[in-house]
Order: sequence, then structure tokens, then C-alpha cells
Amino acid sequence: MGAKMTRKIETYEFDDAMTDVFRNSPDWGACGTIDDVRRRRMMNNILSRAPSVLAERQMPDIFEHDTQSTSGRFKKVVLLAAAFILGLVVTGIFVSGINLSESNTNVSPVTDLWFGEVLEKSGALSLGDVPAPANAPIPVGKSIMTQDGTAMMRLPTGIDWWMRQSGHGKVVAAESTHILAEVLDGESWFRVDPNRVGPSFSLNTRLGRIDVTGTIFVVHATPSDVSVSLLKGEVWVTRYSGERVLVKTGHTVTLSDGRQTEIPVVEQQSLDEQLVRLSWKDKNIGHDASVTDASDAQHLKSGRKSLGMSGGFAKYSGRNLDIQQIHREIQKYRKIGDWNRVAVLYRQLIQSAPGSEAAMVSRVALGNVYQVKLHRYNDALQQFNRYIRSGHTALLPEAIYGKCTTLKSTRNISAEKKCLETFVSEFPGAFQSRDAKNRLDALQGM
Amino acid sequence: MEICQRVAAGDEDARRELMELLFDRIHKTASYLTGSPEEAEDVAQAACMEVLASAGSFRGNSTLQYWADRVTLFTASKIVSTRTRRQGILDKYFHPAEPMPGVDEQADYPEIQQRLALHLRKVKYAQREVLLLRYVHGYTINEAAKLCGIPLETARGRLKKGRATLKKKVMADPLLREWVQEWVLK
Repeated sequence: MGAKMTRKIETYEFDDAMTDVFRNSPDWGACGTIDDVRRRRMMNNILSRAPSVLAERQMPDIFEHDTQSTSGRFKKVVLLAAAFILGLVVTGIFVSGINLSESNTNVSPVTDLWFGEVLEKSGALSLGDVPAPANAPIPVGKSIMTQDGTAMMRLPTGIDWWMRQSGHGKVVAAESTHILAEVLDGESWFRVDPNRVGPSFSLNTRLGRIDVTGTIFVVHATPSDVSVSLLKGEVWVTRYSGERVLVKTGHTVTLSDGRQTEIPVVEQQSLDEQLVRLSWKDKNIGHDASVTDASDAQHLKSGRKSLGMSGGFAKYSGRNLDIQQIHREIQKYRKIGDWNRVAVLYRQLIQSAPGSEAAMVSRVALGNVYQVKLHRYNDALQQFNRYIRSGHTALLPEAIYGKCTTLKSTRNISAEKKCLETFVSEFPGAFQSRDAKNRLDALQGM
Repeated sequence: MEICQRVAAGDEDARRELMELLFDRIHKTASYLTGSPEEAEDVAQAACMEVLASAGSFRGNSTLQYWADRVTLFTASKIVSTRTRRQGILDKYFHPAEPMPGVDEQADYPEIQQRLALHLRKVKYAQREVLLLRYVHGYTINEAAKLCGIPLETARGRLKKGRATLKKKVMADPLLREWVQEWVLK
């Protein structure tokens, strides 16, 4: 072997070897193939979305018909000019508060209620089946869907809405006295300003209605149940059958088809931990084990890193069971306050499926446990840094803010300041940004 | 050509046929161009939608696959550039001193292709595009240059630099180094 290893590889030989392995190998492993179930699902998704997307794309044909005699270049100029004018008009609507619907219908005196706005998004978002850019207006009645990442939307009069990945919802009605939104699927966070003046806000889910005053709360909707977790303030949750319950800070209500249960959270969980718990649930519970194919079984056997397919398909179905067991243990030890044990279990969870969604979000949870409960700040920083570097973006604001607060605990003021500046500039819409700004202001004088 | 005309006319069966024909190729291209399977799926879906939307513009001057590759490259570069901007923010502000995560976690990637794919993903995007077209789809350098919309000399330069980077990474990897040596001597 020694003589072989010293042989210089010529460029053409390297090219041939690469071509051979990339083109001719029957097993593409993780790099080029996709399992049949996933492939079918993606294709169906594409084909079902195609008509509406194509219909939207064909809109410029209106201009084309008008300019049939003109040259191709002139058509392009006309289209660009039309798009520019349309852009100006849309911008004008926002700036001046004039509303197209209002001018047509002349119904609502509260003009800015007809639209919300997408403030920020970290993944694909579609409005009414059409891919939407950031800053897009949110039309009433059209479905809002996120594929990956989080979309932050602002509805008028102090209502912020974060829709997490695979979320689905819509603004059902926006009237002068009432705003009604709907969460159909996935996880959504709402922050409603308690001091806002204007129409009341309520939220429909599949199983009940949530009447909101001023609060921060999370709605997590699955096909089987809907849970509402209160992080601040209080809301009324009413089943469509008439039962009503007041949910207060730190409590979770789960609405299932046959029953309504209130689960008081023994300890006031921090915002981040709650977020992590729900994200984990989103990824690993209630998935169809049949989608796991032979290649996954191989991955399990060889202990390879998760490929982390998006869209809710759980890889590692065998491991998921372990992960769920670990997570139950974590909850158990959380309740009795054995934080050392919790940290050990989180590490075990991360090691059992490194690279998986569960492991990624667990890093943020573990960082919080190290920081808040065990005061092991270096370990906490390490976990936050690992998450930040991993390229996973779903909990990026939480991880960066966690890093800032850990740096505060270590009294590393210059690093904390830098971290807070980054957080405030990159995530101005995050719900921690207010605290971050206050802290930054306090640090400016130091 | 005929299938594209049917797609442009709104024939649903034709859409499915076209997807059956091109989906795997588009997904493979997206997989190599992007950094993760999730991103690959996003790019593949966007590229498929683009292919369906612009089927009417296919004139039959090239093969369907060539045209699909061009659409995929264009779509991927748009999506990847947007996402790397966000990653760039992180890289700019955070320089943790510890080693890359999971040296322990990533250690067991025994298969040659997976290791190669990992190394290929570390090559710069522009160079990776040319390497992908050359190694995975077997295009000549002329064709690759046309597909990427760059001058021939630029494509050559990118291929050369990309190849050098990949070779360096491959030869630094004990398993791959051994495999290449054995392959050459075979």
C-alpha cells in the first residue's frame, strides 16, 4: 500500500475517477437520489400547485396581446414598465393607506385593515398558493403557507404573527370592529400588544376559538388536536361545542376531538424552552412510520448522520422512538428539577441522532439549561455556537439571544454588546428584540 | 418538443409526463448544487415549477435535458445566493474558536460518493456549477460555459480552480485518497 499511496495522480486521472464515481455509480446514497415516497409526494405537490402558479405567471399575457405588433424587446420594456408602475401603486397603497378594496367596495372605514404585511421570512412562503416575497401584502381570505423557516407577519393594530415551518393559516376577516385569523396547521406564535387600540382579535382553529386581549401565545395545530400555550397574558379558549376556559400564563390547553384538557405547567418554562419543546414535537410526533424506506434502515444500522428531509417526514423512525422516550424522561426530570440529569439526557438525545432536527433544537434547549439552571456558561456558549454554526435557522434568533444572555452572565461586555447589536439589527421583529434593545441601551453608557 | 407544447397548452397529463422525465435529473442537479437535502428539495421544486411555467419557450434547439439543466442552474443560483446572504451574516459576526461541530458526529461517512459529495459542497458555488456539469452530467467545457452563461475561458478557470480545491480535499481525506489511488492503478 505504501508504494501506491505515493503515486501522483494526474489531472486527467482525477477527472476520470470523479466522472466514474459521480456518473456511473448505481448507488447515489445521499447525494442524488430520493426515496420513492418522497419523490411521489414532491411531484404531487408540484403538479397540484402548478395550475395556480402558472395562472399567475400568465397574467402578463394581457399586455402581450395588446402589443402583438411590437418587437420582443419593446414588449419586455412595456412589461417592465407595467411591473414598475404596479410596484409604485402597491407601494403607494401602503404608504398612503389607500386600499384598492376600499375604493371598489367602500365598505370599511378602517382602511389599513385589509392587508397585513410579511415583515421577514427565512424560508419559502406562499400566499394563496403563490410564492411570496418578504414585504408582500397579506390579502384577506387567502391561505398563507410556510414550507420551511419562519415567516413573520404583521397584522394591523399591534398583532405580530410568526408562522413556523409547515404552517398553514389565513386572515379570515378584517373588519373595523374585529379581526379574525385562522390557524389550520403547524405552529404559530402570536404577540398581541395589550395597549393596542382598535378592533378585537380572535383566532379560529379546527377545534375551537381563541379570544385574545394582550398576550404572547403559541398555537400548535395537528390533525388530531390543537394546543394553546400561554407565555404571557391570558386568552379565552372556547370549543365550538360551547365549553370555555381561561388560559393563563404558563398554562397549556389541548383541544382534542373528544375532550378538552388543561395542563398546568408546574414550573414557569422560559420562552425558549417552550419554543424548543414545541418545535421538537412538530418534528417527531405523529409521523407515518411507513415512509421510512430501506435506505433509512441502512442509515440506522450504520449510525450515519440524519439527512433531515424537510416537510415533516421523520427519518430514523427507529431512533424517533428512542428520542421520544428520552424526551419524556427530560420532561419528567424537568418537573422535579433535576437539571443535571436533564442536561445528560439532552446530550444523549443529541448523540442519538446528530444532525437531526431534534438534535438541533435540543442544542438550544441544552444551552438554556446550562445557562439558566446550571450556570455552566462556557458549556452554554458552546451549545449556542454549535447551533449557530450548524446552518439550521429555525431557532436562530433564540440561539443568538441565548448567546447574548450567556455573555451577559459571563460579564463579557464587549462580546455581549456585539452580539446584541447583531441580534437587534438582524432580527428586529423578534419578540426578544425589545429586551435586547433595552439591554443594549444600558450597555451604551458603560 | 411536442410534450412541451402540450404542457404550455395546459395539459395536465403532459405536465406529469414532463416531470416524470426530468424530475430525477433536476433533483440530482439541485442536490449537488446546494448544501443540504432540504435546500435541494426547495431548489428542485422551484426549478420544476420554472420548467413547467416556461415549457412554452422551449424551441427544440437543444435537448430537453440541456434546457432543463439551464433552468435548474438559473433557479438554484437565485435561491442559493439569497440563502447564503443570511449565512454570510452569521459568518461575519460569529467566529467561534472551537472545531467544526461533530467531528465526532460526522466521522462515519464510509461511502465514497457521500464523502465526495460532502467535499464537492465545500467548493465555491461558481466552481461547483462547472464541476457538476462536467463530472455529473458529462458536458464538455464549451457546453458547461454556455449553460452557465459565462465565457469559455472563465469556465476553464473555474473548472481548474474547482478541480484543484476538490483534489486537495479528496487527497487530504485518507479514505478517498486510498480509493483514488486504487482506482488509478486498476
